[in-house]
Amino acid sequence: MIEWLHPGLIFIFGAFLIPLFKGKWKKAYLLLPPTAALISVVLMLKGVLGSSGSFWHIPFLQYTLVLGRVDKLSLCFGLIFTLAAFCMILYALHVESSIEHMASFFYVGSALGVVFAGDLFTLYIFWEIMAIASLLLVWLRKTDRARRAGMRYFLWHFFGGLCLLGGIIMYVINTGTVAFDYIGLGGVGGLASYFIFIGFLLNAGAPPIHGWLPDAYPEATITGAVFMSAFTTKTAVYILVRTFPGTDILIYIGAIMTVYPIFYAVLENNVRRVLGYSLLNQVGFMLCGVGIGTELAICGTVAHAFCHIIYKGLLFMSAGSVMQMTGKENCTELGGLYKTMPFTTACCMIAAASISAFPGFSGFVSKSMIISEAGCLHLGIVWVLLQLASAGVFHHAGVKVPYFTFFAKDSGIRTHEPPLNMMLGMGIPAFLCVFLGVYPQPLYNILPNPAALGYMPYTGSHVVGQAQMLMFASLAFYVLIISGVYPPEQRKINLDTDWLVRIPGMRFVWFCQKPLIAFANFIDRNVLRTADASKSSPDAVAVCEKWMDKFYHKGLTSTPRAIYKGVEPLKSEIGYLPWNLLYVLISFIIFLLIMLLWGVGIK
Amino acid sequence: MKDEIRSRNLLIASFVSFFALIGIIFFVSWYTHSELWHEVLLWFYVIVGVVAYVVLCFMAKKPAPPHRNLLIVIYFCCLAGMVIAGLPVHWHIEFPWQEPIPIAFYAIFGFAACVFLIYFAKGLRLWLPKEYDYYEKKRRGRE
Repeated sequence: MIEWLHPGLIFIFGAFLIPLFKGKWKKAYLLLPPTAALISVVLMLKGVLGSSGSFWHIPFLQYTLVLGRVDKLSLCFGLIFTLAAFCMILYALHVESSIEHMASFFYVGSALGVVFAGDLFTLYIFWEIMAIASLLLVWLRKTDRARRAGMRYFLWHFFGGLCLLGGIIMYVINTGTVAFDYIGLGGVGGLASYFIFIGFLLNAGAPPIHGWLPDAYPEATITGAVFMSAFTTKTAVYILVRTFPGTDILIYIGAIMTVYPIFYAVLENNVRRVLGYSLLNQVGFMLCGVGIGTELAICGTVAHAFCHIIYKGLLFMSAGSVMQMTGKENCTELGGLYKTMPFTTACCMIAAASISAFPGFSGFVSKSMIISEAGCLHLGIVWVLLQLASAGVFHHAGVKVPYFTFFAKDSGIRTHEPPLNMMLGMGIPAFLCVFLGVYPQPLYNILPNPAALGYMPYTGSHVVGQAQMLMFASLAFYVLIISGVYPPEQRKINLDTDWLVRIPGMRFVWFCQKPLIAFANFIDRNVLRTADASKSSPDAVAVCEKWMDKFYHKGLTSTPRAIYKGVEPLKSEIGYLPWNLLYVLISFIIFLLIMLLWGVGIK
Repeated sequence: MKDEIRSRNLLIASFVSFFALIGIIFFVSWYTHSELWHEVLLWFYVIVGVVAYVVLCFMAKKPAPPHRNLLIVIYFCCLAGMVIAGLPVHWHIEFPWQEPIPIAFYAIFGFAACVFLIYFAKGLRLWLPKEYDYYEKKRRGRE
């Protein structure tokens, strides 16, 4: 009898066999690992297969690595990850490329590895596999934009990963334990906890280190973006629930994070980028819940992550279906698709109603927990920001996405519904959105704290208040559209913090290329002129000339050339890397600093 | 035209089936617990809201759909219904700014919030957007 089975490793080992199959067999095989993983998690929930405790210990140096730490929190995330993975793999079944399937399997598997990790080293290893696998999902789009966006995505995560690694090493040295449990800002971990915190926040997409998300997700492959919408940010939320619950600063980070993406989403033209911003907005609610840190708020966070994965996946799926069938993803080019894609329209609208927390849909039963907890604790500003964001999310994800894609003006595009597997992949989450919204008790039963069991989402005050707010928000949308105040969609991009990895590196190379070389040429010219002038009295200046040549020509002028020479091959071969050289250097310097501090910490 | 009518019917049918599902689930939960009559009222509000949402999505599109005026009437009835629905509700008042008009507080808040968000976004539009190939141009300029 098996004591315990790691659902993440089912995916990772399952991935290696994918290239062996072809055609129908491949499709059949692709559904096998997610089904097995789902069954193993359900068995854990039922208590048949190790429902709590820690399993699979591996000795490493003087520490013990724990691959399987099972409790209610990890089971809850494990269930939603496997469930989402099943729907998403079903949705991606038509994709031919084996490597894309392998990347998504690795991605899901490592996300599950993070969820069940019981120590910081295991966590870090799976964390990095997750970053690489998701990078592949971006690169497999195989366009130039995707390649560059993937590189930027990698640089952000490289920075976050180094912060996390440095933090973990310092933390282990400081506390002598690798246990992955409550860390808390400051406290025992000291400075280490801040580095770990930054590493986690980067993956959660907290401002201002969120630039990678709206930058890379819309450039990923159609099915890749669906996978990415679920795992990277939600593993970060899971880890923050574990390690930093009740950290005050998270409340404010979360509250800001719910509001600012709305402005971008209103201005944005690319449908998947709008969804990326609304993803940030939703994760803001979760971070706020983690920051509040009471039992009910933590339950709200976990429940919201659970529902969010379902409806955000569904939104990305419906945007992906539209892209698959029409090849377009800009609001300005789409419209009137409800005539030919009614099923996709219905799914998108259900997901949109869920994300805007309409009573009767899944967002409502989870988001209201966080907001009412903020209300109970009388966090005035936070409450107003969260409510503002709730009205705003209705606006950009609830109305804008379905409206501009499927209704609005008729773009003249005539297509048909996506393949059956994509429709099934959308149908299951759509059903779950409605089911959980109407009958939330099964969800509340698996939440980590029993506090959720007594929570009533459907009270008159909640239902009517939320419905009033959403309906009058829609009235505002309608009035502003009719009166022409609503900003029209433009084929433009908006400046965001991805500027940080695009422009400074470019300027550094420009500096090497232009002013530095100009300076070298200037010196060179003067040395030659001096040499020319000295020709009239050769013997007297011969020694001096030799010396000058050595100093100026070999020393001063060749140094900039040498620098540029070092930079140039990177430019021609890799094409993109030098633009971010400065950024990489900064990351390295920070890493070295961490190491230095660690060295100081030992003494 | 025939296709359009058929697909519109399909859309309506898929919505009806989803909400029939809500009905079934609600019936089961109602059947297993007793004394939930006030939840019936709440569900009435929910369904009215959802109807209004669907109507809105149909109505706002151009060119005008058939029965546009009827849809507008339905929509405004839903809005009025939402405010009237606030009358019998016992409101949780957590903040002083909710006190003056608890019945319509969320309605006013939602409307004001959205108008604010859009005007603010319009303001940001003055400096945030750049041409579609802004970064590409910069890169080429440097090279």
